[in-house]
Amino acid sequence: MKKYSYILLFILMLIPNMVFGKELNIYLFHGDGCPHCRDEIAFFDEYLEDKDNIHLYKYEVWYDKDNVSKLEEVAKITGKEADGIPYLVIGDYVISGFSTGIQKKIVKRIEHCLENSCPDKTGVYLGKALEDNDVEDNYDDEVYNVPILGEISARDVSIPILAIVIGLVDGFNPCAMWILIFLISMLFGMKDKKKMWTLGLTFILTSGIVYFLFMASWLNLASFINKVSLVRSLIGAFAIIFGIVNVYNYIKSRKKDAGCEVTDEKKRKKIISYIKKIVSEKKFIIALLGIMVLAFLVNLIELLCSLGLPVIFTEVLSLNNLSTTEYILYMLLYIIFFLMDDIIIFVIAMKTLEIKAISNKYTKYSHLIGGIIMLILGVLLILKPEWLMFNF
Amino acid sequence: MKIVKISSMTCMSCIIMNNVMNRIKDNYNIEIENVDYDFDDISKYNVGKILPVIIFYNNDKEIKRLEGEHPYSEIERIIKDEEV
Repeated sequence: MKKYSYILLFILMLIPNMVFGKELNIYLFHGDGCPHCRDEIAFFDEYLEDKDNIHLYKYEVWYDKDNVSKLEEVAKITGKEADGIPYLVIGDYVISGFSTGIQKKIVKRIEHCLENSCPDKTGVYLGKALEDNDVEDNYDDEVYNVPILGEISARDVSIPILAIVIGLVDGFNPCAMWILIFLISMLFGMKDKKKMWTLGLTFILTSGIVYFLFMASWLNLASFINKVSLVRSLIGAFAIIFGIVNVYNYIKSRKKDAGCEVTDEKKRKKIISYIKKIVSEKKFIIALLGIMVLAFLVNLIELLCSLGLPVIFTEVLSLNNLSTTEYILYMLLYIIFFLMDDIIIFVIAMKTLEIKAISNKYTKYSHLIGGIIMLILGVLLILKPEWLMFNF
Repeated sequence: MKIVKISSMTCMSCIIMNNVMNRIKDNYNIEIENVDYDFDDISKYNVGKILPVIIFYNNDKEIKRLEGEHPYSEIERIIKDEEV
């Protein structure tokens, strides 16, 4: 009888390994007092209760400088910037932040690594894994099979689409457009075509640079303030208000005839006389510098007019824990589409010496679409931020 | 009949209405006076916040005023109504 009970005990000891198969190390970088980290640790306490083959290693980074250096090194290994905590590494795959959506993502990644082999260079560096088995990791969190295009991830598709749509809608903002239209009219008076092209394109390019600088600064700020969920909710509330105002403006003006609203007479006259001065300037280099200063100042002033959309887009970017290159590429994509209507109007005008205007009735629709986008993104920022990380 | 068109080089809707008014000029023998909002004296026209402004006169008396973008057919109808 005793002999059989030993055999039974031996079989029972084997069961966990038969069910779960492999061992898995996961590494969590957290901060003492960080609410998302606390939630994530609580989740793991419960989730790992009956999973002895999964080992969670925790590294506190708000008070422990050594762990900060470790995190920096791990970020180099994984290739994912450590711009926020909790920063979780499972098989060299980083999952940052914590929410219900992310919880599902963690479980999915753990199951993937238990079923397949995942690399663990992080473990080797931290001294928790003996050697790196150098396996190829084909894991993607939200991969869909699309005919012709093949396998694509939700995030890889969603962010560029968002950049294109919001950029285009934002581009129809008429605040800075009138300056370009006036500039083109003035350029028609110049005889040198080369100078016309150079001055016009410099204006458009500088406008793009100002926008990029603004978005990059906001992104930097957002990566810090997003750690506090209250701030994120406040930005969401701001988006909702902005969205409601835009939709209201559309409803108010939808039956009115489309036209140009003339505001701030003094500023207008100042800008008009400045443009006339630049265009009549004999020294080309001074005209070029003048046009850059004009584009810089005008876009800075008019930024308030369309603040909502770029802010909310960079907010979505910051939630997605992307690499610096990805951030830059997505912002550039946004700006290309933001400037698209300006570029088209300018190129056609230069080719035909005639301004092909876009009716202001489309501006009304851009207010409506922009307002709806802001409303949706604002609500998601408050209630379902994980959806904006495209973890459905 | 006389039409006064008040527009600005900074305004998209004005450019659209310029094309409409050029067609009117081609098809009807009507005097159209172009007034620039930014460079000409517009004080006597009592212009509001929306551009362009199209003012229709008959015997120096204002008979109709339009603001913003309007289709060719609408302008044509006003002219025809006045001619009858």
